[in-house]
Amino acid sequence: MGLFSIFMGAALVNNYVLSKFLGICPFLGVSKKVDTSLGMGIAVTFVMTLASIITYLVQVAVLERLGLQYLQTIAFILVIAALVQFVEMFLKKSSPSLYEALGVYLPLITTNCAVLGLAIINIQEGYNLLETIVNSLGAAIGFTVAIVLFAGIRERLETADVPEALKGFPIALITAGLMSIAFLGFSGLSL
Amino acid sequence: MKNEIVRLGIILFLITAIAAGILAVSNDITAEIIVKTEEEASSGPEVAGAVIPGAVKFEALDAEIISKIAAANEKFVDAKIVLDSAGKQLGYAIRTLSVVPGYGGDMELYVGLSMDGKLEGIKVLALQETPGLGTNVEKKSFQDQFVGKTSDMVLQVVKVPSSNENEINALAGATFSTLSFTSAVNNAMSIYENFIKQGSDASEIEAEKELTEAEMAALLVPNGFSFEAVDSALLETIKLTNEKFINLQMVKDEAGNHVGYAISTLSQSKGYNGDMEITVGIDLSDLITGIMVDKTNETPGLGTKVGEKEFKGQFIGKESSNQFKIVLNNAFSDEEIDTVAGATMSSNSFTSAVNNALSIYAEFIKK
Amino acid sequence: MDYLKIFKNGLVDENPTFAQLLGMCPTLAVTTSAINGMGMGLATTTVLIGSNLAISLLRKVIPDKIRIPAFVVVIATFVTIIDMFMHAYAFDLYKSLGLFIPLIVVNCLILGRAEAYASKNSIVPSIVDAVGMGLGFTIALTVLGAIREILGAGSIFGFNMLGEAFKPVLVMILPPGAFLALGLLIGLVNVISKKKPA
Repeated sequence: MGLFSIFMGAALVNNYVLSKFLGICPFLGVSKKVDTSLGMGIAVTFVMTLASIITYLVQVAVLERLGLQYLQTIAFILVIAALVQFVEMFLKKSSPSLYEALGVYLPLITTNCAVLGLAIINIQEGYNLLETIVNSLGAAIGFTVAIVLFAGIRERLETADVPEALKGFPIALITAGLMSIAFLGFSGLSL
Repeated sequence: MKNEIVRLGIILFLITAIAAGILAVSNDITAEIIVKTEEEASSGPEVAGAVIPGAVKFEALDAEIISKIAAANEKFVDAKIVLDSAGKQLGYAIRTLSVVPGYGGDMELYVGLSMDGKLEGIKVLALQETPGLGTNVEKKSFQDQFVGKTSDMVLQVVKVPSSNENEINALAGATFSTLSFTSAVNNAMSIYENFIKQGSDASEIEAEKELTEAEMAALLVPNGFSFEAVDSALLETIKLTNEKFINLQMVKDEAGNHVGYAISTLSQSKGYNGDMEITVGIDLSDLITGIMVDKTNETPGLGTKVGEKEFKGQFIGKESSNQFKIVLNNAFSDEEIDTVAGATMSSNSFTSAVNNALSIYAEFIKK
Repeated sequence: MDYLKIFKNGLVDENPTFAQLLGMCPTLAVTTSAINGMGMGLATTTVLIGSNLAISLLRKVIPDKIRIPAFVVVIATFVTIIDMFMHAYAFDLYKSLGLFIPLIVVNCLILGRAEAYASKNSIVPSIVDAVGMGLGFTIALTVLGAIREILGAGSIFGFNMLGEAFKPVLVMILPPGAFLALGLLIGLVNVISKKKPA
């Protein structure tokens, strides 16, 4: 499968948020403002790509070599947790404002199912290292695009006239549903 | 401070080690059962019954055949013999991926063929198509279109109601899925045709060699019965100018009348495994009437298909003045010949041999 | 100890899906049918009970500074066990739920209960909390799955309810349907809970 179609597939056709349902919690939780969403998207991109590379290496060099594939879940989640710790420490030193802005959502990247989900998918699809990196970048950028777009819409919704019962999460979910329908259109992209 | 970190590290390590230990035990308990469950799902009685009605189990096919197929066909997964409860052979089940991907990638199918090559049933083993659209390939009403087709057919997907036997109606809104599914079925059937069926072409070509002179003559030119040598000086001349030339003979009928010529030559371009040796029969109206493959080292089931009626039949009846050209799809003019799928080198080689025979005929024999 | 109160809390007052909005990923992804929703709910409940039990047992032993990674390891262990046993004994459900079985480990519901309750309470209350929360989650997923299945495929738990003439609203079992159904459902719950006397 061509690298380009892997990338486009992960970013658009099978968008990780709107199609695969990975990364919903931050998608719904952080997307109230566009700039926080962009910051979150960048942080997630960084973590997803690095995590994919490391988990891929762990899978190939350790788990498969020792026949310990059943330890995959534990191993992967520990890698991700450690990585997020490092990113947190790094951001605290290098970009305190972004660190403040992301607040509690930063450690929550650990429980972002998109990161773990991506790591597992890379192995399941049998990608080699290069394909893994391309897929991860595609997925992460797709996530960022989705979350930023969504934030843009939600900022507008703040000033719109929404029925009482639907205010807050319900209208957000319905909006996401409409975005998802729009992204369904990408499945016509034959690559 | 440092001791603190070390202490914490050790505790975390301990917890992880205990966890790993628990999982190792759990793995031991379940690993075998998992293997069995996966096996059941792809080769249990339910699957057997789905690919051939009345079947209950599978039996391994000859390992040599399996490795031959695997070497020649990259979408092939497995093939098994299908048995009923009394142990009687009901047919074969061929497990293959699709040749063209569907909406969500390849599908994996088990195709059941009876002992005489008729499609009996299909079981979808893996599929990633759109629910409610592409997944409808699993519906009986769709799959019933395939039941009864014979293994020599190459099935085509059409959008309008099917009129020919080899046409399959596409699923509404799921053309890609239908194409993918059909490509898998076609692959399974061609694997059966070339490797599993009794009397597949490997043996057919062998049989041709053991023909009598009369049978060979008849195959090359209608009513042919015997061969007669032509003028030796002519033979010498041809040999001097054409290094691929082997032999030229007259073909006579039972009454001794001259009915045509038989020209034997090597190919001009090499096939997959070297030159082929063929004989072309031309009648007195300068038409090609028959071709025989005398020697070939091509890949069984692929390159050897040039010796099959489906391929070489394209030449029969055409003017000997043609110089033929292999095309990859949809031959249109007289000079174009459809290649054998997956055996372009062999097809080209065979065609070059025919062309050589024809140019010898045109130059030295035709009035 | 008012176990009933703890149980009701998880089921209704702090229902993971409708009130806390936790565990959204599996909620949207696997509720293409009622049975899938129920299966995922029960799998998650099992992990929740196991992890609450283990963490409550170990709460005095795990140092505070490494409690999150330690919780994660415990949860991951139970998730892997559930994954193996489903693979062996519930193959069809295992195939339907696919990727989302290992993803139970990042279901914020489980880590959330571990942090908020099991690490601070003794064993029996922790188990009751797990059962309540798990059941609340399961019911939510089953209801959502049922709605999507009826509208999107005309069946419930695999039983065809609405007959051949019903043209399914296909989008309901596709991703957009998940968002729409859950959004409307939560809206509905909001309406009902506002009408109830406080």
